[in-house]
Amino acid sequence: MSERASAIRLVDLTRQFEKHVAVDRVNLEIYEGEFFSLIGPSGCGKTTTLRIIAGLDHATSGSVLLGERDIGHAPAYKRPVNTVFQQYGLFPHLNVFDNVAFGLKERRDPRATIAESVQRMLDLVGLGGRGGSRPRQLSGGEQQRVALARALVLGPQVLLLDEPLGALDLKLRRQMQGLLKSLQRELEITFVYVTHDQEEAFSMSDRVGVMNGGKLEQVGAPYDVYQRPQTFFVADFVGAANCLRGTVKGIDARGTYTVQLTADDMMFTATGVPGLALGAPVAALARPEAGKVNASDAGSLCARGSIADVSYAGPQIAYRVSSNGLGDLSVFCKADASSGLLELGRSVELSWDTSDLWIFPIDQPSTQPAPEAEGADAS
Amino acid sequence: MRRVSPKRVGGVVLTLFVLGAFIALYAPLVLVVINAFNKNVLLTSWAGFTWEWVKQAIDSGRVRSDFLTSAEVAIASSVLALAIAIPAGLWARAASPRGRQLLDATTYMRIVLPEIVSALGLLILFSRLHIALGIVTVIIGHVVFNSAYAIVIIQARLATMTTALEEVAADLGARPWRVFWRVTFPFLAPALVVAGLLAFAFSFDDVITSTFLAGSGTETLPMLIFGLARFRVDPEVNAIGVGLMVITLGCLGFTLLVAQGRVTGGLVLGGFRSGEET
Repeated sequence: MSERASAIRLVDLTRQFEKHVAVDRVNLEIYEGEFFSLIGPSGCGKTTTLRIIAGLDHATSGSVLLGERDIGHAPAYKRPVNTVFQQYGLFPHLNVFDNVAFGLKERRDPRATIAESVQRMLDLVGLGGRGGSRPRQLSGGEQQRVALARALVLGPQVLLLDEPLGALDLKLRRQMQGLLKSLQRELEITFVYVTHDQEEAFSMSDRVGVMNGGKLEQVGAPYDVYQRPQTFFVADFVGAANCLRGTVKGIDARGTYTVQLTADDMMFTATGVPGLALGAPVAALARPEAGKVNASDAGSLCARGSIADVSYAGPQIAYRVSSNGLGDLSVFCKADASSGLLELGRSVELSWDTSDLWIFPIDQPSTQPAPEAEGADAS
Repeated sequence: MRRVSPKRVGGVVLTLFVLGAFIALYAPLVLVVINAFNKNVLLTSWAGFTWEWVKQAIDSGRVRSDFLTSAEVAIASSVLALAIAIPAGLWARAASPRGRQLLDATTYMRIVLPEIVSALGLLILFSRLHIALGIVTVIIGHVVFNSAYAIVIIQARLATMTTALEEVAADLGARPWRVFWRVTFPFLAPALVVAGLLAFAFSFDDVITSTFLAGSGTETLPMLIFGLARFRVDPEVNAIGVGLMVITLGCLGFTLLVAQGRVTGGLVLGGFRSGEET
């Protein structure tokens, strides 16, 4: 990891508003040329973090390093980073060309170069012929592409994107995702992308960081974050999750845990977050799509119950099952023509291969909460 | 006007009342206009149409010089009012709620307090400071109320502007004053036109402040009318009055057009349409 050049490093970054801590001791390194996403629910501090990197807000403490340089005290206009905002922020009194040329003029590029750079960038985002249009004559997607061109034309070291697709409808969002990803590859600029949509983040990013309550809970490749969450919040935020509470009863040499479930005393072994102690309160993460209906075999975690809810979503069927002992569980099945739908109230057996389970620590009122600093300092 | 249903007698009564009130309000203005073109010097009855009085007014050296004085005062005081109101409005955006309240209070005070009181206060101040009365003191007096109107208008415009666009500009590398010049100012432009024209109109027809602060050597057009009318109301006074009305109404009409965004597109080059979402 250390061999990769650092584009941005946040060190103990904290932003406090009055009594509210928006960003809480965030440590993060983003590499050059990386597509990095910060995800989390609204109010988790992801946008504030982005604004601090842009220089539109300032940290209460901690520092922002761009490459090796501390830019924490530089005003926004001096930072070689640019932002694409959620509300586009196009200047309504300027046409598309002048919007894109805005920063180049501030940089005092020669007139001829400006025209050339702007045209090239407009071509790149597919708006080559729209230079003379006013922003209000453009659709939402087109406006966002102008905003993108306006930021990218400056050749920033890092491009910050603050929920840039939030105002677009689903289909347009998919298109824009493709455009963003291909632009990022082509231009090899580091992208820092903020969104509350984990699916969007997962599909585009090299790595993601999950934020909650101002803290960075976990950083990693989308696969890792999804399959191997470090905290309950991450497990729950990045997808549907069945979390079964239990206690660590045994640890073997390879770091596999033996866990006893609290609800029904069932014992099983599975891998999980390294370093858990004997007796630690944990949860086993069983993703609904890994669950099987009426197909249990040896070495699996099983639960009996009846179907309480069915929702059919085209490619998949989601069942909610009231289990005997483990509460409500959800499971997703492939909706192929042969299997059909299971009816409500039908008694079923759910099972998960223990190799599909993942053990992570949870806080319990009776025990000490996990030290916070460790929680923010993810893989 | 929409027809009132005959069953709604209350509605009819209300309509008649409002109509009567408006006739009463506008009758004097109509009289002034009629009498500006009335052949009858005594203005006791209509004796036919004539341009005579208008010509007389235009030919009068005193009227022309007073018109110029009024115009100078109006232009200078509106420009100064804007020069005060723009920074005040910008300051208020970043100010604490308390600071804003203070600005609002002092602004509205200048609008609400009797003009005669502030004129008197200025007169006393100028004489204490041994400042000779003249066109400059009149301009200062007009700035007192003009700046208040300008601040109200500019603040109203700024209230519709989030800081988002300015942040975008800063993010794109614009220094603070460049942000103002390239983003804030174009956004404000329609409000500046409106504020300037209103200030001009208010200044142009002011009597009280001008009378207090003009001294003996300076006279504005409204002062002239006031002076003439104290002896007798002759047709020429009416003609001057009509001229004043035309100028003031012209300003207000133009202001309304700007406020509705009809002229801004062309007039304020590259300006934001007023009322446009940011």
